[in-house]
Amino acid sequence: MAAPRKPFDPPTPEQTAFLERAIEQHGKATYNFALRLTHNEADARDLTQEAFIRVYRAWRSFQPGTSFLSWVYRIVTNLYRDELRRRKGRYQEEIPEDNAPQEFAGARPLAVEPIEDLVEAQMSETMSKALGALSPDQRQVIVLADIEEYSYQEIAEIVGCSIGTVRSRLHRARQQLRKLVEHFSAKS
Amino acid sequence: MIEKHATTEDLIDYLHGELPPEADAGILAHLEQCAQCTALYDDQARLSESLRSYARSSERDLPQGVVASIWDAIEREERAPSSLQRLAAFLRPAYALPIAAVLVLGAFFGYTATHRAAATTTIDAAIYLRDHASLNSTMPFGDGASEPATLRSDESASDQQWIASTGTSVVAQDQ
Amino acid sequence: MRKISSALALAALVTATAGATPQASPTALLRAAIAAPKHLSYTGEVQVLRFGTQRSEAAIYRIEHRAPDLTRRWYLAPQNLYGDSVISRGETTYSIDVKRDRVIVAQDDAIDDQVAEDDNFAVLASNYNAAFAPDEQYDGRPVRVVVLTNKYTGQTTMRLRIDAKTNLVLAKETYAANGALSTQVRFQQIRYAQQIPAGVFDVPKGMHVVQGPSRGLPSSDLQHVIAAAGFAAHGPKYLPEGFTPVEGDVVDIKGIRTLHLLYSDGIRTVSLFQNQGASDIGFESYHASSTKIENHEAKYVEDGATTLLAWSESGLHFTLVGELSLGELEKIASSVIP
Repeated sequence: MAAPRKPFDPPTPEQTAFLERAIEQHGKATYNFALRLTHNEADARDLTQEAFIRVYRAWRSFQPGTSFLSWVYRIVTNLYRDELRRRKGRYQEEIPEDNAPQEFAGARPLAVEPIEDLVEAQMSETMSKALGALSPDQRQVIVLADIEEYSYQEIAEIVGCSIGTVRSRLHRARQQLRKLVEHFSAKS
Repeated sequence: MIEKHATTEDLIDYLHGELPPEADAGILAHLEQCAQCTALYDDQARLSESLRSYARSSERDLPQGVVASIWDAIEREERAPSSLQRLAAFLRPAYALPIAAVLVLGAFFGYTATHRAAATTTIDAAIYLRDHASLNSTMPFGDGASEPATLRSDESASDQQWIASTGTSVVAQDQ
Repeated sequence: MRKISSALALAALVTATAGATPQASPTALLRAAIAAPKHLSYTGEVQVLRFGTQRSEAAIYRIEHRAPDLTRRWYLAPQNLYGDSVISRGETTYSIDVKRDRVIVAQDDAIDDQVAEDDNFAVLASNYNAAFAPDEQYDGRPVRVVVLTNKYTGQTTMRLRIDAKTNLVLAKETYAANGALSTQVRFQQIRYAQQIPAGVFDVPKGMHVVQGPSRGLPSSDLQHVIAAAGFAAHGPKYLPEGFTPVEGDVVDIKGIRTLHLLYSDGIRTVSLFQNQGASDIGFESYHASSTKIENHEAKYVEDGATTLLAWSESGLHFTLVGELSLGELEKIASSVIP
């Protein structure tokens, strides 16, 4: 349902530079946001790609002085929701193997104890499973509030709902998350 | 003196700095005196810290392939001919005259038909009500979700005409 | 946000909550009730009553449902529907009109949209308190009674009687803003069947087939849908507490391209229709009253729990429809083009 494109409308240098800057400054954050929403690397790549294509097409509608990240998070949120509905799958999916915590690739800091690394990895996997078991709306509000640290007002604008809904959704999501953490922790 | 205990919801809002100043100060003062509520608050704070810790440990760099694929997709879009470009390519001199004639005649009759039918199209309120009800199918306990909705027992004359002219029926929207 | 540092925050969290046993809750029962038809096959008779201000409606139909998604409804009343049936096979619905000897086929991708259902349930759970009322006996079966109360208005909006053994909703009542009973849906003579023959859900052959309206998956990206409307469209800036955008799409109503935006709080919904051009709204089926939206003439219809409000502004024709009071719709209307 994209708006009809105007023909004979070649890209301007400003448009290209806009996208280059956007990817450079916010590409990583956007990708990680998509990854936390989708809990799947392949989906996060697709979502990030599609989001920046939308950013490129709609570059004139971004209002300077407002938060670019909020704008692109809103795009990612809506793309994700539409994609989920196209697939018509249940939201509770098993976490795919490729989503296990990343192996430590660089040099180990000398001060870190190996046992803490192991505990940290286990805790991370538990949290990953717990987040993956939340509904998309619940996962989204927790990611925005507790990881991205947006205010309730900002979250309401990104998600497109009232502050009251953000508040009550976050309360329920955190309650649910605690139960899931306990559940997955007991299993491991 | 310990006042009323804080609810979990209040503590979550306090943790996120979302309480009005007076309520915020009230919670702070209460926590200083109430071990029970402090324990609950610490519990919530630990959950938030666990989330941030998880986020830090799971953060990834933007895969290079994603950047390349964004530019590839944009380049493909820019190269694909638009509908007007395809039309321009199609209208070669050998076909231009008869096609142009068809277009002109079509435009004339189209204009005439439109001009005659400039009268306003009336959409009955019942159609909006039915269209609204039909989207209830995804509501958890909407009439279209777990129980079918009532079929209206009457159909207006204008809807009968619309059925006859379009071959569709508003009845189909009543689920 | 306030922060505390804790290297083993998660371990401490788990330790603190160890031993807690989750208990059945009204919300969990509601979840199970929504899922029940996906794994239960049953037959019975359903009575539907809608109490409007201007008119009331009633229908009775026999129902056969084979899990997960085959349903046939065969109408017994009112008289002009007697003998008609509706067969649903997943996303496709066949309306069989015996008097006109035709079958109307319609597709609606949103019917089988599990993700949307999950999301909308989360919105409902956010905005409504679910509480048990005393257990009852209904149609010879023990039922749990769940009452849903709006968190912001404190108003009881829905009451459900749920089969205690199977979790199927056997009766549902919804209430208008003033507390009056608005709709009542009741199962009678319910029988749970292991297997209902698939042939029950076959569409009769030999009838004239007509393609009805098809609705593809609407988009939840309302800003995108508004931009794709084909005219300078608007969305509301004010919504009642708890309401969130659900979906939107562009539909063709009698040849008029119309943007439809849907918002919901999980139970109550409100649609904003808007279009441009030579069209107006007719009230052949209803008696409409007059009001004003910021100096623009407007018409409204109150029909039980549903209110419709229509007005024109800046070259656009707007129609709001929702399970809200006229006052709330007027506030929403005033915010569309401030």
